[in-house]
Amino acid sequence: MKKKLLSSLLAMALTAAALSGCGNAGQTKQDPAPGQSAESEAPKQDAQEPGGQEETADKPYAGTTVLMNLNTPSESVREKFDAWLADLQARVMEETGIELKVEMVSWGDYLNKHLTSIASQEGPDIIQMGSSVPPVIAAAGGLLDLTPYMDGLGGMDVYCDVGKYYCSWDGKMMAIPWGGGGREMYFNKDIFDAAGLEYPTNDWTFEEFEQNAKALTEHMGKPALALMGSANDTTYYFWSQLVTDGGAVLSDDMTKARFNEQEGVDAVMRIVDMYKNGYIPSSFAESTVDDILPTFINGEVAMAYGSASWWQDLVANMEGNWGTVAMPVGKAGLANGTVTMSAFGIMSYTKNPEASAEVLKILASPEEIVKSTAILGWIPFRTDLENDPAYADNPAKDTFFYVAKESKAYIPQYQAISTVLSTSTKYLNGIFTQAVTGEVDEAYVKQQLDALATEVDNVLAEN
Amino acid sequence: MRRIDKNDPYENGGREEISFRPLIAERGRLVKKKKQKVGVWILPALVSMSIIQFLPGFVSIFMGFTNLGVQNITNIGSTKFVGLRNFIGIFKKGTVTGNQFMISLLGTLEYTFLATVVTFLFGLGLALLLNQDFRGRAFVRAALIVPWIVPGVVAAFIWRLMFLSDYGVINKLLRHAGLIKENIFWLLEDKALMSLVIAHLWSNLPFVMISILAALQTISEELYEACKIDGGNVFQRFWYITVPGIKNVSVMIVLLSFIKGAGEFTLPYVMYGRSAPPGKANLISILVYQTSFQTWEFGQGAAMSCVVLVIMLLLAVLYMRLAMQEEKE
Repeated sequence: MKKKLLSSLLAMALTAAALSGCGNAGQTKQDPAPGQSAESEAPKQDAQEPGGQEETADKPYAGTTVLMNLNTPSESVREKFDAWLADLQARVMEETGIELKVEMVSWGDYLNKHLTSIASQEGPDIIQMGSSVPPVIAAAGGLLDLTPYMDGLGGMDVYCDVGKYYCSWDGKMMAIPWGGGGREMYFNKDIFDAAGLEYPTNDWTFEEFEQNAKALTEHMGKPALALMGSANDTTYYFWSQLVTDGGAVLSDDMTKARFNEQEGVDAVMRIVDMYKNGYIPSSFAESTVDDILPTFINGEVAMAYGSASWWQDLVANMEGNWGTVAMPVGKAGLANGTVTMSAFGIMSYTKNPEASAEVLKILASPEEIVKSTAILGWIPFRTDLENDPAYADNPAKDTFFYVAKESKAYIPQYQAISTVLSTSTKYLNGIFTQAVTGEVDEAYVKQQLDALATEVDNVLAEN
Repeated sequence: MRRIDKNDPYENGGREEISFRPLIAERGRLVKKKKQKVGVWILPALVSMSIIQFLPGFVSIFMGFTNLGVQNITNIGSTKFVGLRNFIGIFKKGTVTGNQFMISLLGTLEYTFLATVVTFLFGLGLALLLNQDFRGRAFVRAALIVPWIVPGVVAAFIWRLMFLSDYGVINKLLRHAGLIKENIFWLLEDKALMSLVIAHLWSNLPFVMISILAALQTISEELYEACKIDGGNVFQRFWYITVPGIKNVSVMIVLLSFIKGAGEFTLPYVMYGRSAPPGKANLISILVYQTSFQTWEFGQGAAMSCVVLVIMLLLAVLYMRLAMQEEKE
């Protein structure tokens, strides 16, 4: 009898545990997982009662809770980042009475999580997003229009043009650009010195880029430039190249692909020709940006196309023996891979839009942006913070700020951009695979880009 | 003459006849009562399994017949029933999804078949080897189990690094051994699927080997000795004793490998940098993920899952029937 009772209790407990995992997450805690932390709560002030009434006079949002999702920073800066976060929560509580709860989400998971929130109409009030994401969520009706709040968020003029572009949808600001970096060209100073070459500058052209690649390859006796030919970075590189030369990814009305025009063919052929000339190793067709970093650190290549987050690894492993420069400039001015821009938006389902806007006001204030982005190794996408001493120990800051100010956006603001991106990556990888295993010429590239354009046109027509 | 015990009810001519019918009926009632009690105890688990496993499956199938996507995610009530439109769309040539679906489906079938056969054959070979008695056998057995405990994500990362054409250790070793002159592009289109099979083999071999080894050890040595005495050669001993002995386990292993292969996600997702794996290596599970969670076309993603489910169910049922039919014969 005892055994039966125990079994039935166990069965009921298991059922209850399983059922409790279903239903809306809302503002409940998320289980900690590697790379994530449990929800952190604002430090309670001794005098503050939950929903306390004493301070409502100057804190109109006292008793309000706002939940914010932040993307998990790397472990190397985690401690400092958590300390900043705790200070932020305390400041929000002190100035507004809002209890700011924060939930960490990994970069790989956040879009799925926000998708779930949108579908269920419950979840965080404020979210952090990457640069191509605001239009996707905005098109789904998931973001609040921040245009009425922009004056309180510093005003439109303080933000970089490229940041504003990526955060807008249908003529409205759906997110605020916060911080990040871009994809730049990293170079090894020792190898440049040994080859007798001057370090490149931010206004270098494609001709100078190729001349450097050639000279370095001859000096090293092996391919000197690392590019990726796999993963979405390939498409970002291609798109930024064709836009900098005056081309476009899609037509202005987003009904037709334009990357298969001559600028697109030239951009692809430029990469193919550099491989054929021996400047790029054959492994580029399978490389992602994660594969390239160690080859650059080990001195296997003299130049590498890398992400903004590299600089901390480079400082640790190469000390001062490296530099960074914006991508070469084409006929139409700089179009850089500012794909590591982070933005904050307020979800449309929030029950606390005004309180969330207050939190955003503090988060987007110059002092908080500087503190947090300096910790993360990013730069702000504001035009007024370049000379802040907090960025002094980032050797790449001049390039990052230059890119943020000068570059034009090239990722189209389109809700199905992920489909266009992944399809483009598939075709480009196919072209580069053919280049390393067989033969590629301009006619082949044109044929492949036309086939890609046909598929993309179908996507544009469906959406 | 045997003395008849008149009190023994089983003796002919005994005064009493005991009917077993009440006993059988009572036993039947007890069994029924027990089954009812058992039913009550497993009900909570059945309910939770239905909610967690079966219900999402049915919802997913239903989603395949709707237009649920980015345009109506914030207003699910506006989702429309679109019949077979999604199912037709995933086979339609000239569209992004249509072009990729057949490639991914055929690639998945090819991968599943290759991975299952290769892993089974290697597992069988190793199990036969480890079933022999030799010095250091325990150490070898333990060493061969190590890949099983390496997490899938870690294994995928390691294999990716090893397969890199210029910097990977595999090409370096092959070049040093003089087996190749030019680097092999393991991660590019032609070889991408084979690379997945090799990585799958490494991770799953221990399970197959251990399962077959366990079955081998249940086969009596006397059967082999008797066969030897009767003049049976190595192949005959293997075919007539070993194979029947491991048949049930083999059926299960092949089925499990098949199911696992069909749903393989971690390997291609991690090995190819979380983007679209090239060509056929973009397995169907990756495509469903991309369609559903990157492009937010849930209806299409669900339709793809349904097609895969039907194909895998048919193959599994066919295989089980064939295996059981042979057993009956």
